[in-house]
Amino acid sequence: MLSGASRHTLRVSQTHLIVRISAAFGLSLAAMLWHGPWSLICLTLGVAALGTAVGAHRQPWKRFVLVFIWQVALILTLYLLRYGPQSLPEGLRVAYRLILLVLPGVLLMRSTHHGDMARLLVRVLPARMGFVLSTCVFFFPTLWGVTVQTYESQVLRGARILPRELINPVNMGTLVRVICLPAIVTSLALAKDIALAAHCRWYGLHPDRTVWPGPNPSNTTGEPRA
Amino acid sequence: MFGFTLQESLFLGFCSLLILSTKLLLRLNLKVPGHSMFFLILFLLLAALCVRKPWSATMAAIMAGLLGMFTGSGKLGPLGIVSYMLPALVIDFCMPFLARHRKSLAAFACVGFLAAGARAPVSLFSEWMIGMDLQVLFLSTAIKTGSGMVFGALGALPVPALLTKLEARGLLSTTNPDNSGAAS
Repeated sequence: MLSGASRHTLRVSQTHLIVRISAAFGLSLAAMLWHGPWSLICLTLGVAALGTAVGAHRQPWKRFVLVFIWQVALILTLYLLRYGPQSLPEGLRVAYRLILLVLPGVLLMRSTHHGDMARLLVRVLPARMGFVLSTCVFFFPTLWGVTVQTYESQVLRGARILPRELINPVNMGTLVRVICLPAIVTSLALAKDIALAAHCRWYGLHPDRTVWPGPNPSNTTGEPRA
Repeated sequence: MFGFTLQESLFLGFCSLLILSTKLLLRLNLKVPGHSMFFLILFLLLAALCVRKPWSATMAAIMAGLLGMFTGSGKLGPLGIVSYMLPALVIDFCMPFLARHRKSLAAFACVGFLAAGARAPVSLFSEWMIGMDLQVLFLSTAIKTGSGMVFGALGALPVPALLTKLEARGLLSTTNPDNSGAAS
C-alpha cells in the first residue's frame, strides 16, 4: 500500500537525489519568499524543468489535481465573498503561488523510489532509527494483511464499515472497535516478537551498527561486530 | 533510541505507518475535509498512552513524517514532519492531564480538539508567506482547521475504551521496559 510510487519511478543515484531535493526545496522556498514581477514565470519554468527531469509524465496525477482544484476553489470563493469579482485575479495569483509552493515537493516525492529515499535518510539518521524505520516498513505488509483480513471478515459479518457507510460518523466508532483495536493488538505483538528476535541476535550490544553472525566466517560464536 | 526500547520504538513505528496508511485509504474514498485528523489523533494518543514515556507521541509523529517523506505519501515534504509534530507535542504536553483523567471522555475530546487545532500554524505560515490577504488567510485556515478539530475530538473519544480493553487483555504491560526487548 505504501509502495505505490515505486511502480512509476526509476532508481537514481544518491547524488541525483540530493540535487533533486535541493532543487525542490529551493523552488518551494522561492515560491514563499520571492514576490518580484517575474517570479511566477521563473518559478513556473523552474517547476516545469524539475517535472521534466523527474519524469512527471509517468505519474498518475488525477488525485493530486483534485487536491489542487479544491484549494483553488476555496481561495477563489473566499476572495469572491470578501472582496467581490474584481479581486479574482489576485485570488488566482495567490492560488497559483500556493500550487507552486506544494508542487515541487509532490513531484519529488511521487517520482522518487522509496528505497532510494530510505537509503539517503538512513545515511543522515542515527543507525538505530534507520533500523527501526526500515524494519517497520519491511514488516508492515504483515500487519496490513492481518488488518485487511479482519476488515473483510467484519464486512462479511455485517459491520457497517464500507467506505460509503463511513461518511456517517456513527459508523466510525464501529470501525475503531472492530479494526483499530485488532490492529493495535497485532502491532504490539509484532513489535514484541521482532524485538525478541533482534535481542536474541545481540542487537543493541554496541552503540553503533552491528551485524549477525558477522562478516568473518571464522567467527562461529556469532558475536556481533560494530 | 532516545530512551525508548526497541520494542517501544517498533510499536511507535507501526503506529506511524497505521497513521499514514489510514490517511491514504481515506483520501481515496472520502472527500470530507479534515477527516484524516480522526486517525492521526487516535493513533498518536494510543502511541502515547500505550508506551507511557515522555515524547512518545512526538516520536511517532517524527517517524510518520519521515516515512511519509520517503514513501511519497505526504504532499508538504519536509513541512509535513512539522504538521505531524505539532499535534503530537500538544498530546505529549497534555499527558499528565490525561493520566489523571483516564476515564473522562470530555478530557480526551478536549485534548483531541486542541491537538488537531495545533496544525493551524503550518497552514497559516505557508499561506502568509505566499502573500495571501490576511482576512482570507484566517477564513481559509478556520475552514480547514475547524473541520479537522471536530474530527480530532471524535478520534480521541474511543481511546479510553480501547485502553481499557488493552489493559484487560494484559497487553499494555508488555511495553514495560523491564520485560521488553532489546534496549535501543
